Amino acid sequence: MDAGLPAQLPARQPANSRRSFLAPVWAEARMQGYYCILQIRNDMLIQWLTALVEMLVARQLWIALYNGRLIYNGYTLDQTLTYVVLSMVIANQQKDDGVQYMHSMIRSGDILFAFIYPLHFTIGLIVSSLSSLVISLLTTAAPLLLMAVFVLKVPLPDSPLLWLMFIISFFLGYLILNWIDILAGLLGFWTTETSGLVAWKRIIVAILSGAYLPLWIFPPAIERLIAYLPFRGIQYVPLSILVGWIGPESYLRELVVQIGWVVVLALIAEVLYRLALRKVSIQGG
Amino acid sequence: MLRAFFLIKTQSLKAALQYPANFILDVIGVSLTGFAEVLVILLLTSAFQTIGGWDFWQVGFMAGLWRLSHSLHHALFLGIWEHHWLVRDGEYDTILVRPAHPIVQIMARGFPLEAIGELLPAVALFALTCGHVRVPWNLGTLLFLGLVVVSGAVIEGAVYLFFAAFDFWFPETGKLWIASAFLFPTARYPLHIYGRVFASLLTFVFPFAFMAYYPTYHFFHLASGDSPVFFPYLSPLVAAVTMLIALGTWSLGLRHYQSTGT
Repeated sequence: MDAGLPAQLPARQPANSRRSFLAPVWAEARMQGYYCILQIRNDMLIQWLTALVEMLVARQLWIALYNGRLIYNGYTLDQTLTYVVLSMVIANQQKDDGVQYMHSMIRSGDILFAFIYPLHFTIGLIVSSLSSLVISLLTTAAPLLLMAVFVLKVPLPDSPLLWLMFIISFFLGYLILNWIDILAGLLGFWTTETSGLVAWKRIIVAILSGAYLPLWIFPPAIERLIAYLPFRGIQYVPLSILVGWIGPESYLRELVVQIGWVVVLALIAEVLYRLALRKVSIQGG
Repeated sequence: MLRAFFLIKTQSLKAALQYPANFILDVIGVSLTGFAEVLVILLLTSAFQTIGGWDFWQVGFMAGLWRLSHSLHHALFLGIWEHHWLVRDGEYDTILVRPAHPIVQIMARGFPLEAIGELLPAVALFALTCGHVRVPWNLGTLLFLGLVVVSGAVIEGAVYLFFAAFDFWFPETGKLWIASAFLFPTARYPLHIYGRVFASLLTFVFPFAFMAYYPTYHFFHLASGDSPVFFPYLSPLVAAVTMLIALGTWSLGLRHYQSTGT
């Protein structure tokens, strides 16, 4: 099956290849190309299928928790179902590629090149994470959203203003997430051992952002504490705007807080980055 | 052969212990997910009191039992997750010419680190809950517990092996994720909350429910609800049957193995 040919060959196929003695090679290469596409498609299908199972499971869990009640402490079952299912739709965008990438660069020493790029290193990471956001929105979030609506029949609001606010807030949340990602990555300069750091970051973000559970499930004291942290802007705020737990009177305040956290986290990252630069130059001798 | 198997496992544990700080950090990293799940169960039950009629101690006991099996599975079968790489890279060639059975060699590959990482939250959860559920602890119960844990590990490994067998026909990655998507729902919450269709899937297609959910009925002396009364005792049989099916599929697949030729 594997002839050891690079899969990008078909793109450079010459027009007269059919008569060339290389024809079998091109044919094989084309097969390899198709095979590559097929494989990607299979991986996608598997990803969608597993996400569908997870969404179904989450829906059943919350229906069981509500146990026949339609409302719990002012949070209706419909709102909660929309929240937990959509949190899975957007959770797929939240991989920790940034921190993994940085740690591999720190370990290999390739981080050196980052300092001579014309674009500021951390800004460059943010830009590249935005481009991967576009891809994952198209390849995972969009199909998962369709499944949520047509298979799981999750009720969604139809007010354009609500959706606009959700999109802005989700985007700001994505920036917060990526700055936290970068901060965790920068800590790698000091810890060098990084696998534990990634695990901690992942769990803390999952629990405190409201990706695992809506944050109102926490005891009130802890919920108040979480309100002072940046994490809730990642998932809880955009989704709460969408399902209506955050009313129109608080939109402005929530968005300003999110923007504030983006700025604060970016500034902390800049300070850490400069400290890290100094540390690296010491090691470089 | 068994001796060689345990020798390889202990050697890889020793190798991991060469960097103790890293080892501890990695073990904690693996345990974190397990501990986070305990927190999730605690939060849900403290807000809603019960999940499908079970309180924190009951759900926690079941989740702890499941995680014990899962941990043992990690110690024995984690190498199956590398199966598709072995097929893709042609590394199966080296496995096939060695005297030991290929499955034993694949089982020997895994790293005990994950098993220890999963064991910590499992033992913590089990120790925390076993005093609060009305389980009559005696020799019989303990033997049954051991049998269930071993059977559960074999069931999980068998399902993964079954899916991994298709690597010989379709060597792309990711098939095992389908199985694990069905695995975790049985890990955390009682099966009956998922509805009839999903419960049948997890009983007859992916028999993960026999890892902890059905045996839990025996421990609690609960009436077994919708399921037959003998279901709590079926785990060893289910483990044997699924492993046989998986091994059969795997040996069918092996005939289709094409080396990479390098």
